[in-house]
Amino acid sequence: MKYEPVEALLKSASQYFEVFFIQENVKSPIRLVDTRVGLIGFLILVLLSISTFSPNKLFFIFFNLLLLIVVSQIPLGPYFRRVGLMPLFIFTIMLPQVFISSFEYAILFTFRVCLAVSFLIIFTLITPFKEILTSLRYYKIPEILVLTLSFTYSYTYLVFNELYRILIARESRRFNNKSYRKIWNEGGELLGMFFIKVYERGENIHLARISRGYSNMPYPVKFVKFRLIPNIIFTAFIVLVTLGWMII
Amino acid sequence: MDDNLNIIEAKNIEYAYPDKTVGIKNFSLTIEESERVVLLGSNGCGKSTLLKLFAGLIKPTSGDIKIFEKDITRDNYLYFRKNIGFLFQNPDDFLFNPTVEDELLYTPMQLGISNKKAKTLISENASYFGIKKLYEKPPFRLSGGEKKRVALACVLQLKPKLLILDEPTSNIDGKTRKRILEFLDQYKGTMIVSTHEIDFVRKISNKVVLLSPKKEVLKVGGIELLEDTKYLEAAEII
Repeated sequence: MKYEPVEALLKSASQYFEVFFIQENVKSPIRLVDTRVGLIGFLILVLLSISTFSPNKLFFIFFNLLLLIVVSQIPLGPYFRRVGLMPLFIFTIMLPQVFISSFEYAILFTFRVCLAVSFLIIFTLITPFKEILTSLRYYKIPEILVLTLSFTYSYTYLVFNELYRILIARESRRFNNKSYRKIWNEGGELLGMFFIKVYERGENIHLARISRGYSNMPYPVKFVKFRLIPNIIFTAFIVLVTLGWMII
Repeated sequence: MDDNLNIIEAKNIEYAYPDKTVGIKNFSLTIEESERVVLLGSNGCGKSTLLKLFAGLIKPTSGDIKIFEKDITRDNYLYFRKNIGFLFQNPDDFLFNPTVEDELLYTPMQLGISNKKAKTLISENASYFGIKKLYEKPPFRLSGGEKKRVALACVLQLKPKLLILDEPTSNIDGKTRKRILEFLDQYKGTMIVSTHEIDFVRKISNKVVLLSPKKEVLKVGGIELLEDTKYLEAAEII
């Protein structure tokens, strides 16, 4: 059928992004590190990744990323499911740079963004999202930014879930091949319907939030008990990586 | 509480959606404390819209509505939220947190209840509805019946004085249905339920509001109204 390649891709993409931000409560030794310390540590690793075009420095960061994956004992399946499409996606965006700058530039750019995103993915895989939000509030990040992040997190699932449902519903009621023009027309209608449905569902969820006492007020979350040794080890690791990055 | 407290007083309320679609027309009703009211009507007759109006989630386009004999204002907003439990028809709209435990903790946390107290609070309902083993799961990966049970447990945490349930028995298995019925049977507060299942109405209610497909009140009465086929046919229930 003419529809299949495009719709199959959309279906896989919507399933992929549906769970992209949802953490899996992975049990990891890094969970022993206080989320506030972890947040700063991982942000430093992200900054180190995106602050250089030096291949040596990037490979040094890559080595430490692998080390972190091994130490944190995160299952590779969920990790690669999240990172898997990333290099292709970023390289597609960087494709014009192959002609404007150089092939090497496009590759290094893709590499460093992948490294940065990888650190964020590891962090979100092992840390409950509400603790990340509470850490941001602890560091006095403006409430509007924290709320925006919180809503983005909740609604990402909603958007892709709705797209997936529409695609499945269309597939169940499709009987014949049509011209490509008709397919594009229907695609446009699907897109419009998708936005209307997501808007309506978003409105319902907002009403549900209100009915359950949502008052725009941050709610307190207790962090896990602060343990000195894991925090010292993690901080030492970050300091060593930073020093290594500066020396190379 | 006063013995004769009117939980809901709706006078000539109308509601139209932003695209001018009529949600409900010229509706008046008084619901007193401890009444168990069922809104009965065909699909699209305005039951869900009415329930949202009763919960103070949307405001009527015209007419007057009082809940617990109070107007809905910003000042008493929290009072309504603490005392009204609202179960949405579609649990997917209702559940929006990363895990089931987060869902259960959402309302207590919003109301500033301490983490320890909140966990004790949710534990009782979680055991009753058999959802403790689902704590770590994301709600969107649950089955339809499990979602409904989680949603109901969320609604009941603060033991609301007014319980509003939008089609609580749709898309659930017999066991879950039985558990919900048992719970509603024990519930002592005021209850407003929308459904189109006559059997369910007989088991839980003492007041029936029949809505016509024209989105107006057709008849208000006791459960004996369910024997009157003339009205049930006019409401397109049978």
